[in-house]
Amino acid sequence: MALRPSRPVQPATRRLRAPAPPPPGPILAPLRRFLASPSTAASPAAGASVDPREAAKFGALAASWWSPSGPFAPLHALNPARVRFVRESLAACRGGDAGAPEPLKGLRVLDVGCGGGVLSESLARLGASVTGIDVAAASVAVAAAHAGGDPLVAGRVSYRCISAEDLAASGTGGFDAVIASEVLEHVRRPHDFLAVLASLLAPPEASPGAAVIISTINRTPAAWAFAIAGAEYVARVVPPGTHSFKKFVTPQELAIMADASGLKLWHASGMAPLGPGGAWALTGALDVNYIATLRRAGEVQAGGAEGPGAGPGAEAGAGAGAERQ
Amino acid sequence: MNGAVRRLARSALSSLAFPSAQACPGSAPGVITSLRALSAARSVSPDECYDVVIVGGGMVGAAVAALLGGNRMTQQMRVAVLDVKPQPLSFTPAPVPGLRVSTITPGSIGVLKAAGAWEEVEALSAPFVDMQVWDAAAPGHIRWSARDLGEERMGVVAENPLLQASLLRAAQRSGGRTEFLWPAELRGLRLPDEQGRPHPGCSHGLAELDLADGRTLVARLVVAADGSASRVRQMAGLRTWGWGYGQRGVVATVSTAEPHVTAFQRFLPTGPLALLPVRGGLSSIVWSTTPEAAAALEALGPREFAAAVNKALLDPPASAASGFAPVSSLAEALGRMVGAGAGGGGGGWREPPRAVELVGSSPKSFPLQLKQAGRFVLPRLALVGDAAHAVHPLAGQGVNLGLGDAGALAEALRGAVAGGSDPGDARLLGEAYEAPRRRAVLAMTAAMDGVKRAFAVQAPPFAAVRGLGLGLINAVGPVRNGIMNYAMMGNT
Repeated sequence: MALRPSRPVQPATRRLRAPAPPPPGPILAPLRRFLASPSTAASPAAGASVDPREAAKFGALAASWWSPSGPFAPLHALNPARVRFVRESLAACRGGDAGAPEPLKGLRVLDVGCGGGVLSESLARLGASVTGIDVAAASVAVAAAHAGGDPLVAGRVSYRCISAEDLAASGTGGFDAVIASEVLEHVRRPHDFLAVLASLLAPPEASPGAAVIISTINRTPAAWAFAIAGAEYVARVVPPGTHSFKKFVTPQELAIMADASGLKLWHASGMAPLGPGGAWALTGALDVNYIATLRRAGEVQAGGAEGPGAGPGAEAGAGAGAERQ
Repeated sequence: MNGAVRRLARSALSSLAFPSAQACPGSAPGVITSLRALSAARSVSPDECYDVVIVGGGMVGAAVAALLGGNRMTQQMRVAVLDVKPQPLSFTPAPVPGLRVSTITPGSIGVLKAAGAWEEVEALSAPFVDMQVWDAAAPGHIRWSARDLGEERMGVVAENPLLQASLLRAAQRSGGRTEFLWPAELRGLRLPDEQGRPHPGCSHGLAELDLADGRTLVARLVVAADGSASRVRQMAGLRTWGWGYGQRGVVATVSTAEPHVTAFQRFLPTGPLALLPVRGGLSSIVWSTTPEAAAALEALGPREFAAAVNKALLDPPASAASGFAPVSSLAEALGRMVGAGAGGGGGGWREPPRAVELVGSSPKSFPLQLKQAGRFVLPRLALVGDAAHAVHPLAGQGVNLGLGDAGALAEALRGAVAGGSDPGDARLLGEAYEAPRRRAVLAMTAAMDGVKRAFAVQAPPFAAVRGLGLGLINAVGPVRNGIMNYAMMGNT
């Protein structure tokens, strides 16, 4: 079961060492910066120590994970939409009730690349028992401190500073859902990464309906305009050329990677700031940001007959099929 | 390194203690970082926390509780309603309706339905199907009918204690987790700072409320529904702005020669006078006027008061004798022209019924004012109803705005639960509650203020222009109905 990648999966971000000003722009920019932040993101296994100056820079950024007006404000804006997708999708996977206040009650969920815990806390409020992992120590510290602000959340989340492959290698696993939100486009070998995520799921007999949920960004002209031109050239969030359009992942590619990991892309939804007042909403168009649920191939009928629209997710627009792309 | 990271994180969340939080040590990648608050402040278990503490069990606070309890997504929220005095959960109609009545618009009826209180309110309130507004200084009138809007009624007039008791009862039986804590006096309030960082006196990032009996409540969200002199608002340091109008509103109940189903409102030189149908075939008077005139009205006997009402409602327009009649005739002619072009239209003039005498309690008056908080939300705090905005009661909109607040806040919290958000999150409250409500309140106050001020100008030429305006508006159906939709809220 433990599918070890041939090489450890690294955040694909060590390239960028120069600090950038707080990004006001598109949703992915803060995450990129976070992942790009240098030595605090060192692999735990490497035991790298932190340059105090770099630590100070990153500390300042990590501190703003929860600032209402800080560089992560766009992430907070996106968060409810992806949480609604998780709510609908996991209920559909497991035959649960998406309209329940705590539909994830009793589920063990892994949040890979948890950062300051924005998604982890929301999943905890939906009832899940959440493990958040991140390779950035400062972010994990902020996440743990913030979770302590609410006893309910504190009792349902735990954070670890560890990479997904090290976690898998340590024998930890057995999750009902593994979520990697805005991470895939930053890893060096997404195929391997997806296999690691798959290996962290509980076995079928223990958790029928277990799923991997990925949110990432498509490789389309619209995505280029939004995330590359917008973030790098207009908003100047990061130096031009730092982020490569090539690394963006299309839904088709995600489906192929899933197949190689024994998963099937089950359904997907776009996410765009098209709701009332510019709120992020789930949409049918997967051309920029999208979120997808991958299920074990053996639990999904061949041909995707059980896919889009099969569950209540369809009502929230979560059933937009990747096949359409 | 660990110390440095910890210090940084600590400075980021300055007052939140996390002594055992471990920065990730390079050599031991598996260490679980966790938080156990061990500060001197009392630590709190999840079971102790309320999701929402509503301060004030009046109509608007009760509406928030009932709406939360009546919605599947929010009914698991643990809700407390505080009030300094025990509040009534039942309403026994007196032979004569009380003086405290509200005009309930279709938008508010929607809120009452969602709250599960409408049936009780409908049974003991009086519907009105038409509304007629006219001027004492110039000809012309506007008349709206529910028919034009495809509605069964334009609204109802309900006694405030009926609204309150119905909503509290609905909250109680909703199946939600609602507790009534009264009598309970608020002595202290600790909120996170503007950035959402915990209050220095708290071991957590939630709100704390100290009660006079020594209890301390912990809440994810505090809802201030404690009226225009809100203690909570003062404790939170939120300021208000606004002004008085140098006027008083006189309220009374009268019997009329025949029952009616029209809300009449006439703009007098000293302010508007409304005659509204209430339960039992009686009518409620809301008369805005100068303090001197208000004092005089309060001193009148039952029949003299009725005579004053009749004179104010039925005297012919002053301008008919003022020498500006040609202008007014022109206005009427214009109005007819436009009316002919618009087709259909506003309906003819209807004479208000004659008041016979005062019934029930003797008349009372209160000062007219406009007051608004500069902000309606802070981290873990939302102001609703008069605590957020007190609008002078020109069209009985105070309660409607408050019920609109309750509806918007409950919807915002439903969204919070659906999206896994913290119900006290300032960003969520700002976007999903404050922004839409501030627009509604500003539009309403500006409109009410504008109408009030426009009608306060009594120079005859202005009055004539005003008459022209009313005539035109009445004739042009879509405009008239647009205004009405606006006035009725919930339809905009």
